[in-house]
Amino acid sequence: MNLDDPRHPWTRLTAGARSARDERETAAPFGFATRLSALAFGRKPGALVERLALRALGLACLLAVLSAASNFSVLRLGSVGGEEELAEDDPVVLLLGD
Amino acid sequence: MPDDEVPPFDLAGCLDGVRRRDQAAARALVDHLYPLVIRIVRSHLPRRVPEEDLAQEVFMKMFTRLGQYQGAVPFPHWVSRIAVTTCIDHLRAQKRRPEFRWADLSENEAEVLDAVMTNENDVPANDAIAAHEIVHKLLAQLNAEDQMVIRMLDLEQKTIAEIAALTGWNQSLIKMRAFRARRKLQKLFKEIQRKERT
Repeated sequence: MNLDDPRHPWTRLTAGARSARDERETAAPFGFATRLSALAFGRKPGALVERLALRALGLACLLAVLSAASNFSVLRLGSVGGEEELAEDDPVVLLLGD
Repeated sequence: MPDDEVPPFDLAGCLDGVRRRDQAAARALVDHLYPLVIRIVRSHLPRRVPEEDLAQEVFMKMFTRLGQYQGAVPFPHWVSRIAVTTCIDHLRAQKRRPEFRWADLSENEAEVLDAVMTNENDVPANDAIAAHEIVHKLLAQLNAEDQMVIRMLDLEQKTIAEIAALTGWNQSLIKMRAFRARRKLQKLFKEIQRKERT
């Protein structure tokens, strides 16, 4: 029997299914349109915080680079005679002597 | 004009407002189109996808693509097409198709299916919901595109031209998909008959 045949189980099932009435609400849920329009126009509540946080991160990186550059000479001197200077001030070395 | 008569919705004005990023116009547009979108979403809803999430996705696409709308078709048709293609995308994403088993049917659904398989009577009006459930479970055996075509043809009784307008597929492709889907359904019915109700 062909699927288009009115006696075919499929045809009778679909005819029955068509008569089922969907009585669910079709209006938009409360707040749906407001949430969507806010999303669509990109005015998310966290957007400002996110933007500021990114700027703060950029500023922090810049400050770190500047501070490393301005203290470069000190760091370099420290690395040259570092071990001897440290040993002079080390209380363990002072107590135990050479 | 009587006081309680609702004025017709000014769609063109509303669209102009949305293009100017007027949130009130956007809200009005969503409220106006929600019944249309939710009907499409409900009739093609994939398993385990909340209808509100799918409706939200449809509206987000509508807002994003609004600049592409040229007015060649009425705006609700354009939105319907977005809704249909979004549903197809979700149906496609669900690659696993659960096997159709008598054991997964409710008692009433099994009785209705048993009745249509063994006699030639129409489904009684009080079993319409069960018939609806069975049809959806049978359709879930088909791939996304075939499901869409058969649902529109046999449940919504749309014409090939209407389906073409909604999906963007050409008419020969729709006919071919319908033919292939019917053949699969025919095979499925034979299998159901063979397994029989235990």
